[in-house]
Amino acid sequence: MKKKLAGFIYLLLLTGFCLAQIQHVDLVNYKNKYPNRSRISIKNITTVVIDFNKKDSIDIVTTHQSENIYIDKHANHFSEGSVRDSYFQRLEKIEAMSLIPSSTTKYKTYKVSDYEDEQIIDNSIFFDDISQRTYHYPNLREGAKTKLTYVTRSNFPQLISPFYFGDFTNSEYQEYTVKHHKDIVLDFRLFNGCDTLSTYSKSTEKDYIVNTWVVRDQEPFKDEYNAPSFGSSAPHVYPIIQSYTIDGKQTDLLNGLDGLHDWYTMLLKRTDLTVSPELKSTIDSIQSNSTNTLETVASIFNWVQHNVKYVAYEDGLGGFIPRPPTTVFDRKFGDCKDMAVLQQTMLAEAGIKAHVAWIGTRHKNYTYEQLPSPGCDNHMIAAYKSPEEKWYFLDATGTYTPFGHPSEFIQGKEALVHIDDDNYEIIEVEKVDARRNLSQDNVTITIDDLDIHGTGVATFEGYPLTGLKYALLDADSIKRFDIMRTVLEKGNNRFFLTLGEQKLDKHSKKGEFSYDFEAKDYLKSYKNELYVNLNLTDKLSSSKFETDRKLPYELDHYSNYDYHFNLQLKDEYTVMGLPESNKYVADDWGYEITYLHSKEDNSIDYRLKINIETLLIEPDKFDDWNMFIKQLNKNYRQVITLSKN
Amino acid sequence: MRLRHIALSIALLVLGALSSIAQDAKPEYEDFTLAQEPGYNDSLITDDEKAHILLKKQSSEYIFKAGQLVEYYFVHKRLRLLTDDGIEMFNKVYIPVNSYSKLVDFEARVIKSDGSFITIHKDAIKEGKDEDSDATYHYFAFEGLQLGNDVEFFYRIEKSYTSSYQGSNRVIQTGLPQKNVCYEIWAPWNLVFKFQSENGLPEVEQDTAYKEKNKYYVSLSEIPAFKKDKNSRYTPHLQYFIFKLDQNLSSGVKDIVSYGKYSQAVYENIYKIEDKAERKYLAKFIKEMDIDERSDLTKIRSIENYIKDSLTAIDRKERAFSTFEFMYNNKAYNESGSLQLFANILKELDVEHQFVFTCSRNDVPFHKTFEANHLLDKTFLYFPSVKKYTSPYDAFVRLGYIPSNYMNTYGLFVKGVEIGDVQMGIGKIKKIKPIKAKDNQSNHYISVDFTEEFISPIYKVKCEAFGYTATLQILLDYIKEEDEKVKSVRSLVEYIDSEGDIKNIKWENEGGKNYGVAPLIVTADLISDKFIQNAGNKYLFNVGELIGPQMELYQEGERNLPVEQSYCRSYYREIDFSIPFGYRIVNPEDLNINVIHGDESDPELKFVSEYTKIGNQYHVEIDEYYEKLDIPLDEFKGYQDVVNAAADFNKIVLIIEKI
Repeated sequence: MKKKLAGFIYLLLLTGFCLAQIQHVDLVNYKNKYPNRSRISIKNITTVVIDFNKKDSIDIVTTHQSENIYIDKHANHFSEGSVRDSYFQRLEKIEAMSLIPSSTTKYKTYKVSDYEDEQIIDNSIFFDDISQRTYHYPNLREGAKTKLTYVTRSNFPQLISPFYFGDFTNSEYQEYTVKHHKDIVLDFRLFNGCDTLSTYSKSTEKDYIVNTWVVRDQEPFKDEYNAPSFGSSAPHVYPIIQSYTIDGKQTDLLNGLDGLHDWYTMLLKRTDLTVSPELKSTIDSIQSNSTNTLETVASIFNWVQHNVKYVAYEDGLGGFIPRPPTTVFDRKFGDCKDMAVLQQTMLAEAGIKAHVAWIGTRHKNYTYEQLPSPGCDNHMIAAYKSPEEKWYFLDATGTYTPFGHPSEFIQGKEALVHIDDDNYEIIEVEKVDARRNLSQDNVTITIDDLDIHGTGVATFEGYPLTGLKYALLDADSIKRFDIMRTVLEKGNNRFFLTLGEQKLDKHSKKGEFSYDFEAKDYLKSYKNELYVNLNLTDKLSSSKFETDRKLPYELDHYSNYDYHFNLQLKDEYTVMGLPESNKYVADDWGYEITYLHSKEDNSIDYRLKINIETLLIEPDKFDDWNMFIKQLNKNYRQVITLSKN
Repeated sequence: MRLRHIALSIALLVLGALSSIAQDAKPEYEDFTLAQEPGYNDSLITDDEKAHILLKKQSSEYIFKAGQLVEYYFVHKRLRLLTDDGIEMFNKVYIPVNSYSKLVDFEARVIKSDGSFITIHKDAIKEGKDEDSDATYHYFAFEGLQLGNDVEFFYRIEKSYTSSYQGSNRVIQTGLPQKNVCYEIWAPWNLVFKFQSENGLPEVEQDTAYKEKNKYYVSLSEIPAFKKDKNSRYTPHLQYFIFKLDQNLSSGVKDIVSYGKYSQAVYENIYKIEDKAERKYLAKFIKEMDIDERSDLTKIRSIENYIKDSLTAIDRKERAFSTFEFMYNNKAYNESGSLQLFANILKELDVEHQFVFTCSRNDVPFHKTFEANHLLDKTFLYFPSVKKYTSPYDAFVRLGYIPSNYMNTYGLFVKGVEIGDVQMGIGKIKKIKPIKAKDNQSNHYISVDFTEEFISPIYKVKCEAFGYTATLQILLDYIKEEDEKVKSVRSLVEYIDSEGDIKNIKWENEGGKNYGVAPLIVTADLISDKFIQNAGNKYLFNVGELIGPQMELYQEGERNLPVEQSYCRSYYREIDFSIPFGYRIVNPEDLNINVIHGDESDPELKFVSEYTKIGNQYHVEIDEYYEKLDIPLDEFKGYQDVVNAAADFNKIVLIIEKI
């Protein structure tokens, strides 16, 4: 009794004796503990039971339970809830409720009564079989709690989901339990520090083995611009169901990489590869215009790239089984695997051996050895090995990806190449080197009073060129001009551009843009002196990292910038001061600025080269990157002094 | 919205009276199918358009069905797709439906240049919901589509419930060139519609050949593509028409859709408190609000700050989410709930107020003379005693400010008058005047002392944001962590320089209660090398860059549209700097710029910068503002000069030399 009274007085003190504002003891405690949060995840428990069903195959029943408390006035922002229901994970049961404080120690429960099933249109997938059961938590306000329990059932053991530890707020208690029959063999793969973060226990209950991982008091996951996604950086457990034994007979499921390949092969075999006469005649016509094998490979890749639009249907196993190439050819649309199989079939028909390959995009942070399961990949391409043993990865989903370049988002990733039904190879896709991602600008500049005039050619190759193709090829002339003005702008924005010849079409391997420009009042003068800053670009000048950034930074591709500005001086000008050449060289990035004065023709040759050769900048490299940018910026401010006779 | 339903029920009463005498009719286009031989006219199209619309026929037909007025919508289109982008844009068709409207029929096909075609199988149609817009669609993708092919489709939708006859727009012009365009409105013989065409669209005509039904139509053999101009609105300049039901010849009722009736109905509805319980919750609200009763201004601010700071806005339209009980218990409000709560408290506190109904001027704008209910899309409050507007619902503005696209347009102002013992709502169309430039300020005060050091000097920066530019002020209420707040306010200083190091960042006046009352003030030390260049033994000081990047209009193509800005705004800056003794600035007069537009004594647009000097201390004042929102074409040059004056200032470099 005394204890109770003490608690009451404590409460009154906290609430400032204001009876109208009585707060539940949980709210008071949580607010004290987490003054900067709106929501706290109290509990997040997932229990997976893997067992035999009556048909002697495997059922996976997963129960999810979560409890949250809302500790500020924004509680209502969390009132919409939804749970997914798909062909692979059937939603069997759901119960959601709000708990609203009715006194300092009690809650009143309001169960959700209306659930609505909705098929959601995804912007990137034209159609899938995933629907959402949505609901609205009633009466959410400061101090309220919500509880959600739902159960899913799956009989696709290959497609079992991982469990991620972490939330965008503090998580007090997270538990992942996998209980499986002892005759079902499981392998668990732990990622992103899950092994050190969690407490693991294993026990036996009759015929079952129970594995449990628990994480207490986890700090929130924070997102930062261009940082790796939650899925690729959060600690998680990925279960793999390898095999099971019934009556002494073992059936393999995902038993290592062989098992994964076997399952994929079984799905591939369901695709009808018949080639229609129309498809055959298209292949023949492409082939008759090619002079050698590699050209045929390139032409077929280009044909699919430009004639088959990306429209994805992910309907049940349709998300894994490619559609027949003849169907894709007739429809002129398909998803990645449809385009991969179409290319492979067209090449086979042309007598060229090519392969399909599974691959994870850069969001999937695994190697096949680390995760020999469908969770490792999310994409399919075609692959061709030349007689010189060079692999070409053919991702026709990108309309303007150049032949010989993988798409940006699979660089550095492993491709699981399907050699034949029994054989596969793992090939690492190249990271396209900086030299092949060129952004170059060659300009000759003259001075006219305080203005400068320039005549230049800008050249782009590789991914920068791909980006320009997307931006320019379908734009009207006004938009095209605006884009090129932004790309070519120099010196200051009192910049007048005249475009000359533009060498760019969808097949170009190199884009070349001729142009003239004028930058008015660019020069500063005093008496007979003239000041010229030949750093007409400020590439990367604003790209330093904030000191409080915590997460790595992802780049789309390696880069190579090469600016060459040649200032032609009339005889009346004398060079009084020339900035020093300067460079910065680090492992993955660097620049070099050089100034050369040629007395013979009284010209100054300025060259700036910047190289970036990484796809990810880790936080321990931020200081070095910032030094690089700081030094670059310092040198952008160096000015040439001329005197006029 | 609940208010709409009231107006609707009035109109339905009028219609209901005649439904029994009208025969259920068969809709036009019920038996429509695509032609068996579509043909393919290969006349060359040589422009750089993504696609051409070769045919666009639409029809909205109102029919009485089982005593209800239902609407049948029909569309038949044929497009030629000329670029990859064109294919990407039009290779899928999304047909919006909802619980009141269902897809009745559709056909779609791709037509090849030899006239052969590939028809979409009816089973290929999918259904889904777009999470962003919350709308449900039937959708399909065309098969076998290649460059130069045509896509052709029609579909029919039956809307069992419609309010479109109370007022709707039909925008005819698009960004693509169109041929063979026709829009028809069909109605029973006794329902007379009224139309208003805009932007050069011919008037909608009645086809007198029909007696059993009224057929109205507008038909054009060609409409050019309408292209965007930078800094202009788009939709308001397109060719469109507005329409509404005006008369019922059977009952003799005229003016079926009228702002007079609307004003009366909404006025009653807003103040109607359904039962005792609701009254009790209203009283609870008032008790909890702690209202500052010193003046109308303090009362209004107290109510608004309470609603917006203590309650959360939710996007639910159902009536259940707008009762006082729900709002009190859930500490949440929806659009109509917030209006009713605000208005009823104002009434209790005796604060004079009016309701303002309008629609965004970025879409089809409010019409000064054509009364149509769809133009009364949003509701605001106007307070005559303080001459200010507010939006009860929008959490990111406060008194004096409503979302800027609802200003500088016309609206229906409804005020209460007492006639005998009866309170009535009387409406009047008036302009919602935009707020002044002084109410939207972005100011900078920067000082730097070069006497110690030219390398990495400390720039003392103070930024002020007030009005629309100070949304961050309210946003800070939603950010709980200090380091996240710092990141947000730092962006104001980063606007000046994103290369330098920003230290000692402090701010004052955060929170919605300060919005429109006091500016958000951010101070910081900026340590930067960005502004000083070396040229031998001289220093070049890029003083102009201290005002941050500026918009420029140096190389402009030909314009067809006026400049239309979102809101009036002003920028005031002071820059103070001192240079070491023994140094001088050789070109300080570059700092003086004077460009104005309009009356010299009271210009509408202005950029004026001036410097003064005491010893080695320089002081620069820059006054820039835009007091005029819409700049007609013949004044564009004046606008361009002021904008470019700011861009010119941005490029000023001072040369500092040792004497």
